[in-house]
Amino acid sequence: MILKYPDPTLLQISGYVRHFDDELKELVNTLIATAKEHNLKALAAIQIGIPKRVVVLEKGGNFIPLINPTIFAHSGKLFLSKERDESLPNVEVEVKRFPIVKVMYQDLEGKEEFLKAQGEEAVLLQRKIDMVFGGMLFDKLSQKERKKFFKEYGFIDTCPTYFVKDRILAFLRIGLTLHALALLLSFFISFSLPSLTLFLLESFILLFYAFYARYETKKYKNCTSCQNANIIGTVGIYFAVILGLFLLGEVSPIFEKV
Amino acid sequence: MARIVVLGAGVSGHTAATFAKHWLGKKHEVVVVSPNSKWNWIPSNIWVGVGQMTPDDVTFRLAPVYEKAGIDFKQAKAISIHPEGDKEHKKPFVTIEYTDPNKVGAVEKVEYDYLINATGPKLNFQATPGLGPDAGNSLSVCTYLHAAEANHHLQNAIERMKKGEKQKFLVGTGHGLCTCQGAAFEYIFNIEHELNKAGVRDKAEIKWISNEQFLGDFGVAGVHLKWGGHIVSSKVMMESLFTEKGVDWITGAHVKEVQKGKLQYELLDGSEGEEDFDFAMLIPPFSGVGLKAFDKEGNDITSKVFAPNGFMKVDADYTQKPFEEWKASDWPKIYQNPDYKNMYAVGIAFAPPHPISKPAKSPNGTPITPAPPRTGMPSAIIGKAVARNIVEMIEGESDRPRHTASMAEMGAACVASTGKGLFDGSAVALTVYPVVPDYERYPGTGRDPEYTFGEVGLAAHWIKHILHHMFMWKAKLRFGWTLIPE
Repeated sequence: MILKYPDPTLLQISGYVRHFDDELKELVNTLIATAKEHNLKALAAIQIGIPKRVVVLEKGGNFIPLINPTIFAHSGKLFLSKERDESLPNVEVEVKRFPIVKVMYQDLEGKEEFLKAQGEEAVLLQRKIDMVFGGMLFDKLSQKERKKFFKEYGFIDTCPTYFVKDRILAFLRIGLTLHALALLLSFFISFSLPSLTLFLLESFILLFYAFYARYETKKYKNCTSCQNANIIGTVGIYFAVILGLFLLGEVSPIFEKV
Repeated sequence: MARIVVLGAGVSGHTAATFAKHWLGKKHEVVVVSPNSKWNWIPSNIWVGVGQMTPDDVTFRLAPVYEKAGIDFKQAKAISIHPEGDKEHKKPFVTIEYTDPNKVGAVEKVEYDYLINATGPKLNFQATPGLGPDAGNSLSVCTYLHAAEANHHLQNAIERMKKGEKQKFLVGTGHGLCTCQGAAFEYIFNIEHELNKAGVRDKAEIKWISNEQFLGDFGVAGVHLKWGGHIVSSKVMMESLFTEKGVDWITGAHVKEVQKGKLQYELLDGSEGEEDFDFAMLIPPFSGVGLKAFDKEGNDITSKVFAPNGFMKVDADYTQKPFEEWKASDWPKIYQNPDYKNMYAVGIAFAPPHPISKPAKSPNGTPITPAPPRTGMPSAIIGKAVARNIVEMIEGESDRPRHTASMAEMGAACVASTGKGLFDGSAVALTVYPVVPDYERYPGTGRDPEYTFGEVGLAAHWIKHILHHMFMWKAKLRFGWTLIPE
């Protein structure tokens, strides 16, 4: 089965093939069979859900496997190419392509080979090798064109525009702002804040954020701003603020007495 | 009293020396031998190369800093290592030759208990005929003086363009085995940014030439970046960025010769090409600085201590093996020489077991593979770990190195400038984990996608600028320097 966008698997960056074994031969055979079944001239392994750097290309009536393919050279002037892809059905995108490319790849035995492609074949290879590296047709568009593309075709980006974890953080931010204001007020009006209770409550919300953010990180692996490093940094910063407010709350009665 | 001798005062050597002295105090001695009188924050040389910073902004004199820290500084170059001593010296020693203007040419033998080789690279312009500022055909930004010279040529080119002349800029790597593609990447986009600011972009043709197998390889088999809302390989992102900025590229190229205004190159498929230029900044390949080693009897043991490329052998697995068999465990952990246990090599001075990017040779047998880069963060982490191990052994806390800093187990952050400006600047900020792909732990790309990501934007430029001041502050050993991370 050929995967179709917005299946997130298509956005994975495929890894190098390091073992030239029977499993690889089996993958190539499956790719060729799938390409023939769908009447395609080329197919990347990621399109059937296998994140390995493998592309099969029809050449002279036969399919050849391109293992670990890279485009190392091009010639001719960039031109606008109208393209469609089976993983992005019913969509036509105009992208800039080179008319001639040179591809380095390995055969099924791991031997280095070279291929010079031009015209339609060159365009096809540029698109398939982009997919090997996690790039879809719309990644070749400018930001403005991309927005228009998503609007026109009604696609939902696989990465949400907001995360639930951000809402938890917004809620905590409001709470911390109110806490800070109340603390400031306590310097002028005599009332006592339940500092320890607030500290525990705010820490609990932060802990909940950390766990939920971790869950979202696993759910949207291909999206940025949901990386572990971000979560750790955010938790650190917010905890410093929570601790600061707690300590200020603890010392404020001393100031009052002074 | 034990004596640690550190050869070199770059990022790694300076970090090792200053932390070792900080931890040891006055009880033991730390000696730094460096032919340079100044410390240079190399990542900011890019901005010197486009006139946005001066050499003084990216350097400071080492002597006063070391004097304050209690480190014995010898402005000299290391000539040879004698790890077994000789007939006159029971202890191991290094022979140094002073470059200090007051003692130029004087030779001294400096004994050591522990040696940290942090000599960095020799800029091997000789590997490509006609390459480099000395030959006069191409420029470099590898040192602050080279960068200042590159800026002088850039300003001349801008003046000519303002008079209506067209200019062609060629930026990249000058040999099939170069590293530091990231620095060249920064420079090409800083030039593009400056040409836009000067209003002469339309008069310029800008082209990239490198030994990478694909655009965005950067010598680390590519990185992962945010582009259009999701993560793609740097290959996809860089191709889009180059196209958007009107910068053409040649990859998979080994520059064979550079002449006045033109160069010849060989591609991965063995085909050859020629490219002309008005301005070329080409990074040279790196090699070891040419240190020799001798045993107690005076026999040359250089090939025992150093790899053929001149870098020092450490606890890596140097067995020749194909890409398919590379393992994370091939990479060194404690940076200790296998034959002389009191000798270490850090930063660029240690011999890596193999490249990080997939190796390739043209059908003519020309290797065209980026050498593994060792940027500031891993270099400093390695320097600090080695210093910690030596300090623990000196103080009797341990009888062997306990702290490891394998590049296959550590992550690194990097910020690459693509134009300097408070509001119109931009940079690519990225992290990779691990630096060296571990294909067994992370099947596929060899890296953890949760810690390998990056983004382009103005905020990244601000981070780069802040880091410049932060690391200059740290290197000058100013208040709180030990708290600033590597």
